[in-house]
Amino acid sequence: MRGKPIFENLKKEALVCARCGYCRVDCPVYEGLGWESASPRAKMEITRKLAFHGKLTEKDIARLFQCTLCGQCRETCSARIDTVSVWLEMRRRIAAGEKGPENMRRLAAAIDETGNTAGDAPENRRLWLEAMDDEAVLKRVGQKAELLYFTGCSGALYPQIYGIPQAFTRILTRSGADFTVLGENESCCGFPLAAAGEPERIRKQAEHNVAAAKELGVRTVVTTCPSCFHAWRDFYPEILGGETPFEVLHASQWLAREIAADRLRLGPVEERVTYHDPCDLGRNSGVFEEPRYVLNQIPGLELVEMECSGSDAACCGGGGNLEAVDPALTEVIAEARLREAEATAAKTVVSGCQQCKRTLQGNARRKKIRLRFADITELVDRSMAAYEANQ
Amino acid sequence: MTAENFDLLKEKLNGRVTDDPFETSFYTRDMASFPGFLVKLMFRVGAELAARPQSEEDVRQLVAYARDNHMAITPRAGGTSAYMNAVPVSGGMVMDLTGLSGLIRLDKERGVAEVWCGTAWSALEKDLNREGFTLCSYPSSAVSSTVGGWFSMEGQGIGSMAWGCFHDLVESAHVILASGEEFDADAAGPRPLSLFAGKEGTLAIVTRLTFKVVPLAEAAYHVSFAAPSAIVAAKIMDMAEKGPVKPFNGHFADRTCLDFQKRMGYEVPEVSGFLVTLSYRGAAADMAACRAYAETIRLKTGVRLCSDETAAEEWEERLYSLRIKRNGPTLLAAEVILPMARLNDFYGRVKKLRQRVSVYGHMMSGQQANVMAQYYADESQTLRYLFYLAKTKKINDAAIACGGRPYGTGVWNTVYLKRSRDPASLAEAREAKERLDPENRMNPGKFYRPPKLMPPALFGLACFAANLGSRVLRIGRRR
Repeated sequence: MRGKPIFENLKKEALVCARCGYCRVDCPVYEGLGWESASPRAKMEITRKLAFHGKLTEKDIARLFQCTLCGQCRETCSARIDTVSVWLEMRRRIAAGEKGPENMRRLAAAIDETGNTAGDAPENRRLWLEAMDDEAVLKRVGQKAELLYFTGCSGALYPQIYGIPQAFTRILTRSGADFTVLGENESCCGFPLAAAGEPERIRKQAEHNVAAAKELGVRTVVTTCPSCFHAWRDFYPEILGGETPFEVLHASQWLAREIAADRLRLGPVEERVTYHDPCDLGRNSGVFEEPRYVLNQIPGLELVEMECSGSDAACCGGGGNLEAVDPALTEVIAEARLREAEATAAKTVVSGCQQCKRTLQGNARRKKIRLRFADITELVDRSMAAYEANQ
Repeated sequence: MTAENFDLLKEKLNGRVTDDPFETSFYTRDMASFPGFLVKLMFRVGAELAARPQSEEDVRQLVAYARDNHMAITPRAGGTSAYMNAVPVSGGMVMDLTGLSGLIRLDKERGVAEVWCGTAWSALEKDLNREGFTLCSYPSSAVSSTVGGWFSMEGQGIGSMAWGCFHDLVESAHVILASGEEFDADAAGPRPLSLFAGKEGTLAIVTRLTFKVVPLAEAAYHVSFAAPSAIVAAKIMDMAEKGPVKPFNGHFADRTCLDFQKRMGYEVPEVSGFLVTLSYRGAAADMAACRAYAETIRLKTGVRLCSDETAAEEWEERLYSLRIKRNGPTLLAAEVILPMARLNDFYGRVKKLRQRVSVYGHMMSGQQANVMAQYYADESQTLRYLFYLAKTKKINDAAIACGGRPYGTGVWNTVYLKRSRDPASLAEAREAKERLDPENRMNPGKFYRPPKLMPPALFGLACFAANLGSRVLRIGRRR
């Protein structure tokens, strides 16, 4: 084992970088733009400029924000630099000098003011629930329960994604789980603030969400969004100065556990699918096996891997708030991933991330790529429905 | 160059050429770190143009443009060398060839692959594996270094013990001269392949190469020995070389190298001298013979075998020798070619450097090794760093004294040319340069002569004074 990636400080990491270029090889941004300046190796040169000379040009800053924070460069770094921490710290330093991209600043301000990435009214977080037209589910909002389903901004506020929280809610209901949702009392997990270079603002979100969960007596927090999962599991204890009193799970982990304990009844889904590892769930959080275990338990489902999968999986292009600063680059990265998926001859691309699904689906439509998209919860929901229909 | 012509070129290359100083600035360094003032004093570092061809036609357009505008061309790909081999030192155009990438064709019957020059070795290996084939040899920087880059360098690395120099595995190369003339160079003819191999892009741009590949091996076996000394390490390699099955790869790391790893928190075996690892690959049936022969080596040399995990780890980490860099944070190195029989002599000389030096090497064919001697420094302390830099000369001197020579030339190692290269081959190379690139536009300032401001005598004197200073000031003693 090459050991754990390390981040000490910007000066140190800029000096430790060996300029070997290992980081360039699988970098989706470098692949998409082609210029050396777009490579992580160049970003380390820019880091060196800031660390030792304190000044950056607009072009330097633009390159730093052209990054999905996918962590591929950290995986291959020959000097074991925790590059993602370097990029986040660079963004923080830039934002502190109010030099960050305007869209990032607006995003951070929206989260701060409204508690969500869309800048919507908080009560809009109930719309996906109301659309389910299920009184029993609606009654669960704000109820004391063992398990909190933390929906996340994408799932709660973007209608094209409603299907994911709705599917997971149906699974929870069928499984008999004692669960609750926060509804309008849910606030953004804060993860996009780190990507925007304003991690200090996460505290407000963390305190709010943790207090809300504690008030409901929650013991387990489950998310369908890997970024929320990462924030709850890794950021919150660090920001709040200690362990939070919850077990934090991604939906795929919860599903795997329930299936293993024989608490979910799965029916056939005759489909060839490929699984897209979300960067924040896979490389950045270490969850690779559970989603595959879940998919392999669905009768009739055939899982085929893309050329790059697991810790080598390519990014969908939707991470790091890239879409906010360079939507064209997001499209290029998404298309590359879609072509990989297409090559498997799978009908459906399954993921465990709302943002991945939104990015891939949107770009497939634009590029006229004939693939279907589903979240892992949506497939399990279908499988459970198929089981019920067969009874 | 006129603005009109440049705009036309830009159009032809679909925007993949630029004169933006922001873009060109990222092509002004390689893996080595030299104080900026020193480099600026000696060279015109940096290019006026950076270009990213994606086809042979793009390369033609760029070469024609450079020719018409009397512009230097510095070919570059992974940028993984350390002697400014791919850094423009006379302005002009830097041609980033990484866009010429991919496996063009694989002839399974003949066991040859035609590959674009900018293909990274790791990517090529993946492509070949899908077809049931594998590389014969590759550099220890294979994750990012490229096929064309290694052909232009010395081509010694992992697998060279079994397959020899990469240059000898190449069947043909498509080259484009600075004049725009292009042709396929092979073993015969007035401008044979050997003329271009290892010339660091100073004669032509190599756009594609056809070289030997082999079917994937059925099985592999790795074995590590704890050798108490350099003499025993060399003996193990000698026996391995003469054994019934030649190892695919042999490499060694001295105790300091392992200590540096340990300081980084890695688990390393207890070895008093050298950790020697042999890697075999081949038919499953042959592996039993390899195991038996490893046992013979153990018995005859009296060394201890390390665990299977150690051997596997050594193999797995073969492309990651830089994992120890953090302790520096700068890791200075001199890479040399050395007769294995003189490893002990070389090692003794290196150990007199008054600083801990780690020694790590790969076996080449013909009982020679490609050895990397590394030591820590800190480039952020510029003045002290100059003293550290001078120590590389002592290592190179040690290699030359032991019948070896520095590996690669670029700019910095030109000061050793007279002492380390055969005069006849050097004269031949210079003659070829004058013949094929009379205007000296292909990667000028490299390979053939030391820079005017760095004559070997002056360089030697400066390094001598710095090394004396290091000794007095005890620079590097605690590292």
